[in-house]
Amino acid sequence: MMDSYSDKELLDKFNNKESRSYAFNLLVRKYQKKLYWHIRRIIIDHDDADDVLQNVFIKVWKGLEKFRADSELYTWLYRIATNESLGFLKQKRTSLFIPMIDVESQLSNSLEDDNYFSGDEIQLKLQKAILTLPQKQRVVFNMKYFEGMKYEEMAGILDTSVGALKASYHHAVKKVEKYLAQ
Amino acid sequence: MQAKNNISNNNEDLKDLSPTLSKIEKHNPFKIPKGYFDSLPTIIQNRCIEIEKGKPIRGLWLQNIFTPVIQKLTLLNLKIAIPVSTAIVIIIAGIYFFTSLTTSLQIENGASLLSFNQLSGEEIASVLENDNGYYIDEYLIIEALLDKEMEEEENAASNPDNIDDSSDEIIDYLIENDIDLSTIVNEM
Repeated sequence: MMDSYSDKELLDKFNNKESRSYAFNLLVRKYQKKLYWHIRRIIIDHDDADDVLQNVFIKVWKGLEKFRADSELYTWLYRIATNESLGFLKQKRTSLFIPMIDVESQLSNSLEDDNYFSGDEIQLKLQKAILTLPQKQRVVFNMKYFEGMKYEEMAGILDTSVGALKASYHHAVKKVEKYLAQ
Repeated sequence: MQAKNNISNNNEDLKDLSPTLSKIEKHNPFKIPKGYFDSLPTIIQNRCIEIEKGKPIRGLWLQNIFTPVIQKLTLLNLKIAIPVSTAIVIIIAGIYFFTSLTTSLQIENGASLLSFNQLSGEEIASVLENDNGYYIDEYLIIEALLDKEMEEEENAASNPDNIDDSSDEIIDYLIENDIDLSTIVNEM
């Protein structure tokens, strides 16, 4: 039902003070799953992903009034979610007061004990392989491989050229293949 | 350029590029708590309403206090933050050391010690008898006793009542030793 509203309709409803809360509720329901899984693949841990997702929607609530329709709402939401996720990992790295700490290797180790991870051995190996990628390559790989996003859409979200994204995905796939073949 | 353009999202390309990866079934291995997506919109809506009212977010008061501090701290380059915090620790330790050193010097100079002059002979004897492991310098004891004696003599000299009490003894002494006034004057 909530998917039946287009982004433009949601924005119109949001800009009307009387239907603002209702429109926002519909927006959360429409995008919560997509954004959650996008964040979860970067953050790995459910509780952290939940915190980040809530913060994303609060930022959306605060900034939606100023949102200009010259870019897609979908692109804007994904951009906030990506930035918040990468910012969260950066904060995690610095809050431990160990600048060189490898957060990704910590996440990789935590996967085995994670109650919210149900993958088999090969899925675990694949996730570990993805966690060895540089951060931006990891995001590109997830968006392309799991979410099946088009390069043009990714370019808008990550503010990167299509050519650079293709090259990034190519390198990421090669690295994952190498890790899996070990 | 040609090679880059060949990279697309279809499975055929993935087979060429990564045979192992292409064999893995695309499956989401992550789970979520039951009913998570049903309750999330209400949770977010409540948080937004509280923000709208300008109230601090319930249950997040600790985060509200510490997050800005932590953010500021993390914004500082760690290369600066670590030496600064080390310097603060050294300064605090220095102040503590200096204060304790001053106190011990004051004690050594007797500023905070209970003077022997304030103790009676019995009290001193009691301390010596019940040796509790405290070291008391012998010379200090002698000095204190001499001081006490001199003080008593001075008191006796300045107090006329004491002269009256002991005058008989003095007269007896002068008679016994056959000392007259001229001898005393000569001696002085």
